[in-house]
Amino acid sequence: MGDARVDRILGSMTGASDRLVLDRLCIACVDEFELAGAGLVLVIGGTHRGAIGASDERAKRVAELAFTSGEGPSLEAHERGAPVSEPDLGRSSRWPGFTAAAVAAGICAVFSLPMRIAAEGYGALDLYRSEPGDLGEEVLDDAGRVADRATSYVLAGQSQVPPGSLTDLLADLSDDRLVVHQASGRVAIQLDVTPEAALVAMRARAFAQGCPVSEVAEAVVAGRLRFDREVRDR
Amino acid sequence: MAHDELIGPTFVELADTLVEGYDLIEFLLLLSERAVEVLGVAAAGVLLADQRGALRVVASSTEEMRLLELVELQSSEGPCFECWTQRGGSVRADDLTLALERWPVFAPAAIASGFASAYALPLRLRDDRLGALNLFAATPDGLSLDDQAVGQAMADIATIGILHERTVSQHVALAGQLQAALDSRVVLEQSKGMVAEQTGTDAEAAFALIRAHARRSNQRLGEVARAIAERRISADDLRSSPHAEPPPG
Repeated sequence: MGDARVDRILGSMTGASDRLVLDRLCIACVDEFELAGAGLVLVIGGTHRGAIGASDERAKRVAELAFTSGEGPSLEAHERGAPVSEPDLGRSSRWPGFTAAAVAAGICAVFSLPMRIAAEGYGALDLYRSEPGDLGEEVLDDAGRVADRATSYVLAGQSQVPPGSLTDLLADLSDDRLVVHQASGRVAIQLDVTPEAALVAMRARAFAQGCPVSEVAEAVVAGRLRFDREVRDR
Repeated sequence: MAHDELIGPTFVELADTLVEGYDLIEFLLLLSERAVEVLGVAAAGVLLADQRGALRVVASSTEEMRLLELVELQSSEGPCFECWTQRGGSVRADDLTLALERWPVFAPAAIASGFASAYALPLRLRDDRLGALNLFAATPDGLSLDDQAVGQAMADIATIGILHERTVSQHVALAGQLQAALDSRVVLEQSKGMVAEQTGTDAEAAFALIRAHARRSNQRLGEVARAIAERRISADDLRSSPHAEPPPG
């Protein structure tokens, strides 16, 4: 039964363009595993690079939450190299920042499978449910195989482009983040810290305001928000 | 004669070694040593083809074996070399004194080292040829056909180990390229933001300054961006340069 289900899910990748193929994979996971959403998070070099695939807009937002809050099931599954299950988010204090926003988005249970090839981790496949409850070993096993396939897809894609360039999917993903990195450069000067530390300050701000980092970043780049003045005013 | 009681435990041990993060050379050395014990031969070694298809000695159970394998490679003759050039079949020389014409350099050298028979078993998976497992015995007829089958199974384990290691290396290389491509974009954007903030301009004007500096100083854009992000170059450096082009707009 598991084999046929995994085959159907992987079959969803056939014929889809590079930009859509991992979204299709997530949608197929939602259909076959009876979920409220699914998202694939890419983690390279210890950095959350964004959602490379999602079943829908809400799943994409929840998958991106780990970037804003710096925590969540995907990062934990990636770091531990093992599946992570939280069948009742409402009763959990595991990832305070992630959980509050996920519950507000109507997600009540999360399961995350690491994307791995030969001991190296590349992110995680998140599965979301709108009601509390376990998914069961069989679904987690099957989802693990889907995560493996997504990992090989991403790495195989990199072998198709010259060094220094990115596939369409990853170029788009990277473009989505450009404003965040540009803003972290501005905030680095405003606070006289490294761009990485500036990004942490922007995340804290986004978390406090309950908005994505990208919104804070846009305000910084547009000059509507400064971090130095804010500190001086206090 | 093979030591049958060692076959099972050896295969388990070799399979156990093929777990995450093992060292390939160490694995092939272990394989050579176990081949000697299990098959009752005097020496064993593994030769692998490099990226250009030239054979190299990678593991030998004894130093004498290693030197003999080097003789094989230098003289382009001997069981292992033949096994490689004849596209992956096994090679048997049950009596090296009868092989003096076939291998005029290798056979006398092997006999002088105390070996009486020599065998080579291919390391291959379908059409993928990787190299060969060399087995030398101190007596004629040192490897029966039954023992050769056991030896071939050990060669197959080595093949799997090598292919696995190559796959892992490929993935690590691809992940490295992916990270470099992603990071270079991150750093360029950070440096644009920093220069824009320092000069009171926008990202486009900042980018023009950074690019002009890269051209003047004959550096890559990525190097300049990294230097800015790490505060080794300031916006003043970019502006005060004698040939600085004014930013557009």
